[in-house]
Amino acid sequence: MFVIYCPYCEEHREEEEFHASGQAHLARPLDPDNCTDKEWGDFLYFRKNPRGLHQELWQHTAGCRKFFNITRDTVSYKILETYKVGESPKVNLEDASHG
Amino acid sequence: MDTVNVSNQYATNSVTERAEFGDSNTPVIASALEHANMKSLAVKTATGLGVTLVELPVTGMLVLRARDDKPALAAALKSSLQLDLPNVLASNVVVDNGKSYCARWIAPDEWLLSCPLQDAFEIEQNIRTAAGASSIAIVNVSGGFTTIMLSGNNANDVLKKSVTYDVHPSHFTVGKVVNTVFSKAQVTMRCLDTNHYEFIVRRSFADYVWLWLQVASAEYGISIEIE
Repeated sequence: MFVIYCPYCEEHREEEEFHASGQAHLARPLDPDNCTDKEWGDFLYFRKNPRGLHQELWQHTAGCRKFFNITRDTVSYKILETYKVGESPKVNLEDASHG
Repeated sequence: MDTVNVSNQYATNSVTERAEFGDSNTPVIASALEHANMKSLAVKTATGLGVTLVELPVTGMLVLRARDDKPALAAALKSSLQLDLPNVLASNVVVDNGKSYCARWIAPDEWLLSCPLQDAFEIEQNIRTAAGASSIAIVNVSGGFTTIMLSGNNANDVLKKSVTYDVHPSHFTVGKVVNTVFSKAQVTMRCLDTNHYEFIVRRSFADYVWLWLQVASAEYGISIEIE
């Protein structure tokens, strides 16, 4: 079980209160009508599944119901940081994974 | 748009014209635990035991929302009820003429206000009028929730087996409001005092939460009261 810090409730809560919503920072094609099928297909269906650091979107479903992001190590399950939607992560994936 | 039209959901002809409800605008909403027959349960149990359970009569509940216009909502709430908008995980209570009003923090842009049921419509209108053209939202959800009170010397022990949240008095302090998972149901719980807690649960989960509380409290001895 994770104990996750909700950046809105400003407290650690049990994983039971949260719902994982997959990879974070997915950029929607700016002009969906004119993008290629490959671009649209990549956006809709293709997700990273890294061994190591991963940025994920989570929702505090049983609490404040807000979405926020988590930087998590998929090997050690360690949560490096949580940050609100719209904020930038402090942990740089490239630096941290090679460091 | 300057004018806001709000319909009083309780003042419909279907309710007022029926003889059994009289001709008042007093809303008629049955208890969410009507089927449990509290009166018979209350008679069977003794008083002065470890845990006391009460289901409050249906209370007026208003969901208040504001993001950019949060100061306007705060000012409107202050002017209409003398109530401050609570900060993170907090609640503010005002008692006026024996009527209790409580605002609870739910999310950064959402609060839950409880008030006497018959005053909910008037309060909604007052806040809307005071807020003017600000971008706020108020939804009357009175019929959607019920309030269950848990008290007694072993109330905290019951809570410990029911929620994953840290309910030690040093962490779950008086006045704190927490949205969490109670067994498998979502509840808004508030600490009123040491060993005195309030649960606001969805009407459809009231039966589940009530039965859970009955079973979880059994080892300490329960008394069920009627409000």
